[in-house]
Amino acid sequence: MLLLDIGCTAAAADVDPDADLKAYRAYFKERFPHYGPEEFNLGMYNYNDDKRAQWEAIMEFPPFGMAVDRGEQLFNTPFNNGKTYAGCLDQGGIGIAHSYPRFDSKTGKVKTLSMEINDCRKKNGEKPLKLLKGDLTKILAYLAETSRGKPISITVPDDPRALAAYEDGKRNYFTRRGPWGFACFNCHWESAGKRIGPSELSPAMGQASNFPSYRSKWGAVGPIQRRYKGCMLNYGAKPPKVGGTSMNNLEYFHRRLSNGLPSNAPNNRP
Amino acid sequence: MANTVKMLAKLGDGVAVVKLLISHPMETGNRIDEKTNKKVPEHFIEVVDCQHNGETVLTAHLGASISKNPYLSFEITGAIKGDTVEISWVDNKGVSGSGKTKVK
Amino acid sequence: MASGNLEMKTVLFFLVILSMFASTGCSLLTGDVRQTEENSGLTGKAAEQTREEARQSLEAAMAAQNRADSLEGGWISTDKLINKAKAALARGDHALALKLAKKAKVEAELAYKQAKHERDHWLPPPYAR
Repeated sequence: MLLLDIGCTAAAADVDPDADLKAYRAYFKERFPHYGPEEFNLGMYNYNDDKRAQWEAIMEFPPFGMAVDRGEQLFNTPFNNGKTYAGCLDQGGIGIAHSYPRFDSKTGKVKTLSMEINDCRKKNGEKPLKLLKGDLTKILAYLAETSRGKPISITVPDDPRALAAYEDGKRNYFTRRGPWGFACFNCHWESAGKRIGPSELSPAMGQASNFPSYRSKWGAVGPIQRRYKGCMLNYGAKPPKVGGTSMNNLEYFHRRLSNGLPSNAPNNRP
Repeated sequence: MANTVKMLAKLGDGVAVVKLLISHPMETGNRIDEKTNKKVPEHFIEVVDCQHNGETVLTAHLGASISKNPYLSFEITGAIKGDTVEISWVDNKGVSGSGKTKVK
Repeated sequence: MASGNLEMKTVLFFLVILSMFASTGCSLLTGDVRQTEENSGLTGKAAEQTREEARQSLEAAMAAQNRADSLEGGWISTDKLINKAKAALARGDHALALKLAKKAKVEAELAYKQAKHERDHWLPPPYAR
C-alpha cells in the first residue's frame, strides 16, 4: 500500500477549507455524476428501493413529530427568572440551526447548537441538559425544523484558531481507529453506495443535513454526535468524549461537507 | 399537561386515512432498569377508542406487546372533509389521554 | 446387578459432580477465595506471588490503556479484557487474570501505536486532496 508518509502538522497558512471543499465536491461529482441535492440528502435510501418506500411512508407522518412539538413547548417555556431561550439566540433561535456549529471568536472554540442552548441555560441560572438524550434533543428537533430547506452554511473564518479547529476536525475524520483501523472515509467515500453487513452506506456529502434525526434504533431523535459515537463503538473504537473538543471539531468539519445542501432535519433513519 | 397524541386525518379516494402517534412508555413489566437493577413495572395502553363525528368506529386493544410511542393508522369510509376524528386512550394505571383533529 | 444398577449409577453420578466442584475451585461450596489457591496446588507465599504477578500485570495493562486513551485511540475490546481480568483477580483466579491482563496490555500497546501513527501521519486519501 503506497501512502505518502509526510508528517502532517499543517501551519495555518496551509489550511484552506474552501480548496478542500472544492476538491471534495469534485470527488463526489465524479463518483455520483447524476446526484443533485435531493439524492445526496437521501443517502442510504438511494441504494435500496424497499427501504426507501418504507421511509417515504414514515415521512408522511414521522415519529419525530412529537419531539418537534414537545421541543417547541420546551423552547417557549421561560426559565425560572422569566427569560427565554429566544433572548440568547440569533433571530430568537428561529431558522439558525443550519448554520451550526459556528466558530466562537470569544472562546476561540467551535460552538455547537447544543452548547448554545446549555450556555443560555447557565446564563439564566438553570442546569445544563444532557447532550444525547432527553429534552435537549427535542429542542434541537424543533430548532432544526425551523431551518428546514435552508442551505447548510458552516463558515470557517480567517482566524488561525478557527482554521486549527477545522484542521483538527479533518484530522479526526481521516484518523483510523479500532482493531480494524477504520476511518470515516473508508465507508462513506470509496464505499458509499455499497453495504456493510445489511446496511447501505451513505455518501459523506448529505449525511449531516439530516441531523438531528429520529433513529428507529434509538426510538428517539438524536444529535449527530450520538451517531458519531455509535458508529465508532460499532467498529470497536472508544469514541472521543461527546461534547468535547475533538467531537465538536469533527462536527464542524463533517457538517461543512454538506454545505449548500438543504437542511433536511429532523429526518428518519433505521 | 403535555399533549400525548399527534394526529393526522387525510381524505383520499373515498376514505379518510387517519394516522396517529401516542406518547407513552409502553413498559412490558419485564425490562430491567440499568440503574436500580429492578424490573420496571408494567405501564401500557390497554384501550384506544376512535370516534368519527362522535360515533365509535374502532376500538383497539393494545397491551404490553406494542412498543414505545405507539403508531396507529386506520381508514374511515364515508368520511368527508371537516369531519371530526377523535381518539381517547386509557392505560393499565388508569391514566388517559385524547386527541382530536378534522379530516383534511 | 440388575436392580442395584440405577442406584449405583446415581451415586457414581453425584460423586463425579461433587469432585468436579472440588477440583475446579468453584466457590459454590464455601465462597472462600482460599479454596481456589489451595486447589491450584499453591499455598501461602507461592499463592501470594501469583496474585502479585497478576495484579502488577493488570496495572501495566491499565497504564497502557490509559496511554492509548490519552490519544483518544483506545479500543473497546481492551476495556473488556481489563474488566474480565479484574473480575478474575477478585475471585482468586490468578492464572486467568494474568493471561487476560497480558493480552490487554498487548492490545493497548497496539492501539497506542496506531493512535500515535495516526496523529503524526494522518492524511486524506489521494482522491480527497
